[in-house]
Amino acid sequence: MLVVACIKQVPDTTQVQIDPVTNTLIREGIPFIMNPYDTHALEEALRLKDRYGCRVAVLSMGPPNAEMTLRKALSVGVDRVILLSDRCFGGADTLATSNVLAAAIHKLAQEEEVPLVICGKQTIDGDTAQVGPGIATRLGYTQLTLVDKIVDLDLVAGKIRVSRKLEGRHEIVESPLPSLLTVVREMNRPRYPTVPIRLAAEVAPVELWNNEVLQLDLQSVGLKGSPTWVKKIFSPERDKGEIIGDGIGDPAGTVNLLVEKLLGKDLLEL
Amino acid sequence: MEATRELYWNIGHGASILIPMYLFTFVALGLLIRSGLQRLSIYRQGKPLNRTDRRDERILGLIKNVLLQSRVLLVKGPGIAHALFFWGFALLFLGTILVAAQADFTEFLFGFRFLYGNLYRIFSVTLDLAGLVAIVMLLGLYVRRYLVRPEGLESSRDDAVMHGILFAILITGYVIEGARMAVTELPDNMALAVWSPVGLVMAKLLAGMGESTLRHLHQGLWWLHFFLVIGFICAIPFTKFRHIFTTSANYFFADLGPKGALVTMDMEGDAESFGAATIKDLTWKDIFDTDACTKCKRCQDRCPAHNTEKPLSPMKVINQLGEVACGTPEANLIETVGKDAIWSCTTCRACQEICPASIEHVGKIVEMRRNLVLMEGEFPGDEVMTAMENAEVNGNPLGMAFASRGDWAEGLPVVRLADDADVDILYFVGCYASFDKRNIKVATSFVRLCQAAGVRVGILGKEEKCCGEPIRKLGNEYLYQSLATENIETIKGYGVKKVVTACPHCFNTLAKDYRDLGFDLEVEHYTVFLNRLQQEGKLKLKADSFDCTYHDSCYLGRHNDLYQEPRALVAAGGGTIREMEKSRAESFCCGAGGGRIIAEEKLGSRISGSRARMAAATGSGILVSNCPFCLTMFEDGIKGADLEGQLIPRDIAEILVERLAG
Ligand code: SF4
Ligand code: SF4
Repeated sequence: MLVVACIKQVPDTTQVQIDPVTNTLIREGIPFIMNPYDTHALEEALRLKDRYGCRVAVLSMGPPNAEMTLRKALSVGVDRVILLSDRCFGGADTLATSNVLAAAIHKLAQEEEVPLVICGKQTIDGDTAQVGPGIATRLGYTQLTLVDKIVDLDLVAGKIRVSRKLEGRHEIVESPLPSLLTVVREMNRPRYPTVPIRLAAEVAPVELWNNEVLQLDLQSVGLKGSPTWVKKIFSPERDKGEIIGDGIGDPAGTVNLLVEKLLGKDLLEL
Repeated sequence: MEATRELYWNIGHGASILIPMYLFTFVALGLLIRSGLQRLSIYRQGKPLNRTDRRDERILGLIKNVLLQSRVLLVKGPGIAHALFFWGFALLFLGTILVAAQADFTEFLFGFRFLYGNLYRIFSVTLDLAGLVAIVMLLGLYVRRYLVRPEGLESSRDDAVMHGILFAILITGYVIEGARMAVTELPDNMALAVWSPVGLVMAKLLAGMGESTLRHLHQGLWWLHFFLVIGFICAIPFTKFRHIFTTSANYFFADLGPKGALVTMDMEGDAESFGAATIKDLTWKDIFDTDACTKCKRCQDRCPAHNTEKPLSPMKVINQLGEVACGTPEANLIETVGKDAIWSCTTCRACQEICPASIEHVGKIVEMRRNLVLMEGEFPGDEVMTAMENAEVNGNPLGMAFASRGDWAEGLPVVRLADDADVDILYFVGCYASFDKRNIKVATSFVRLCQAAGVRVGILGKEEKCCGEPIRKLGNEYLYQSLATENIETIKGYGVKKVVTACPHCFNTLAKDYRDLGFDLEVEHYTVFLNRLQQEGKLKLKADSFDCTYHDSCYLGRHNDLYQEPRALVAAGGGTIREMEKSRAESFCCGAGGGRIIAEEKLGSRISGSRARMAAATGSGILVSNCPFCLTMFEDGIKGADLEGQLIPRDIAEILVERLAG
């Protein structure tokens, strides 16, 4: 039995700045990291491995240098990592990306049962939250998004019950397997790699699957398979901030000033 | 009349006396040696470690600490009592050997005597007074232990046995002497009797008893005294008396430095386990240490964690490890000691610096941390794990963008080595001075001081990584080595001659820990560097008098013995230091060492608050320090202890830069 986690290598956007002239991301000197949401997906897969003894495979579509991030996955103890990389996969939007990932999972499922696929709820560079659902649709898996907890998993009966974290409430959903989960940060605390596994990861293989392996129609992958593309990236203009009143010397007066200001902008109702 | 006495008076010197006497003595010594050898198997559970190199130094240390009691005397009160007792008892032991040497060997075999005349007089008065000193000191120690009962001093069966046997040996000795003198000297040899003043008093007390009673008393007590000594020898391996040998040996096996350097682990070899989880993961010396501990609690008294209600006592750690080594060798060390205790240590070294037995506490604690981190991926809290991840990605535990590491130096007279490597010094800035607003002020001050002294300063900027110190002290040797290796390669690539740091943690790490990884440049802390410039007249300061107190950071003070240079700089700036009660080697940690700077302090009260109160008690208003971690902690501690307005924390560099002449 194989649990698959999908991850993406992203620039650490907390450090990304936008070039004011060209309106593009300045990527120079920005480290690449594993998409933070995906680290929780990976951790959950590993917990299932610890608990049920299933195997864990990690997939990532990206350029060759994404191998580095896949090695991070190896260093926490996954059994198999596969990099889906080919020139023709480049420039993909979420649809084309889901095509490639779904094809890879489909291929894995031919060797070994894949009852669960786990993804982060979204990436921090694209923020679409579409790839997980896209994969589920293509594989015909039930899709359980925004999961913050697996309440119950019965691999024999083929059932899963999860808690979904929605705004202001939780929803408990039950579904037959196979399923695809997209997870939120509250799911777990990703583990820290131990040295023996880390050392083993340094020499473990990262499998490379290109389109010769996946045999996808070139019209369904990469730029050609992408109906959407990014036209422009920019930072929205923001009003300059100001300091009002004297919060330490006159807290009450300052609150009054603030309330007036908010009322004036229609941001507060009395 | 010749000044001497008849040895074995009233006892006899025939075979019927000597044979049983020596038989018992040799059996006792045999038992002692056998138990000692048996104990070797306990030490052998540990891993090998070479502690027999540099023999001359080791022997010197042994002599100094045993004969002169140097480490014992680091603490005055009980230290002086112990030392005087030791010297007294040692003299009595030596005296007994001399008596046996003459009576049973030199005179017996060759008719050669030496205990007569003036030599005998000196011998007599020396031993007589030595015994008195020993009794008085033992009494003092007894009062302290059983009546004053200092907090934390635990008294066990061992202590009762030890006090009992020693008292009995000393008292019987005097009664024997008194009884003999009452018969042989009191009536007609007062000229000699005065050379045994205490014996004389005793003799006078006993004089009324009549000769035959005295002879019986003498003979009976002589044998009692003898068997007490035999009992003492036999008790050595089974009681704290053990420390006579183990502690002495520990002086020989002591860590000869560099002070506070941890063992650099081999991360590439084929080790299957890292750090210490069982007693077999420690070295034989770690186990031997536990046998040398006398439970004097000096370490515990000074431990900042223990003093702020955290579940750590260095003494207890040593004793727990000892119990495991002797009794339950399969036990898990981390469970035995407790994770909270292991994580609470600030590696301040106060325990090691004061330990009269030269025990090494910190390495053991770090070894257990290493096991937790490297084998289990465990940390004292999520914030620490995040800091580790940050350090791995961004080269600093604060989670700041690595590319912005050099931004603080914008507009300052500093070059990046990548642009121009022709500099006098490489200033290794460190994470706090690079990113933390408060500490950027210190970095800026340092650079300005260098500029004024005509020193060309270079930095690595975004090429610099965390030196790895907090990470290493928290047990993450893997990440430390990877950061250290990168730094070393970067620095070596520029061919600089000298590195100066403003952070004692960076300093200690670059100057000592990096040596094992192939780094060999000269490294200085800025206080030493600036002090020299000041003395050479290159750094001109105008003294502007102020009152302050000065905090010796653990890593400049205890780890590097740099107490004078920073004080000299403060004085050059016109500062008058009102010392805190705990200063120099006895300084009290700010709470940030041992990687605690990146961990939340969840247990007990705040260490920084305690230190801030000590500083405030001097009434001087300014708390001067030399370390970015200390400064950060004091900013917090002063607020936490409600001392705002009473105490301002400042770094030496900030004070000096205001006093630049011209
Ligand atoms: S470790 Fe050293 S200082 Fe601490 S109790 Fe033992 S002998 Fe004393
Ligand atoms: S190094 Fe400091 S904090 Fe750690 S055990 Fe020793 S005295 Fe306590």
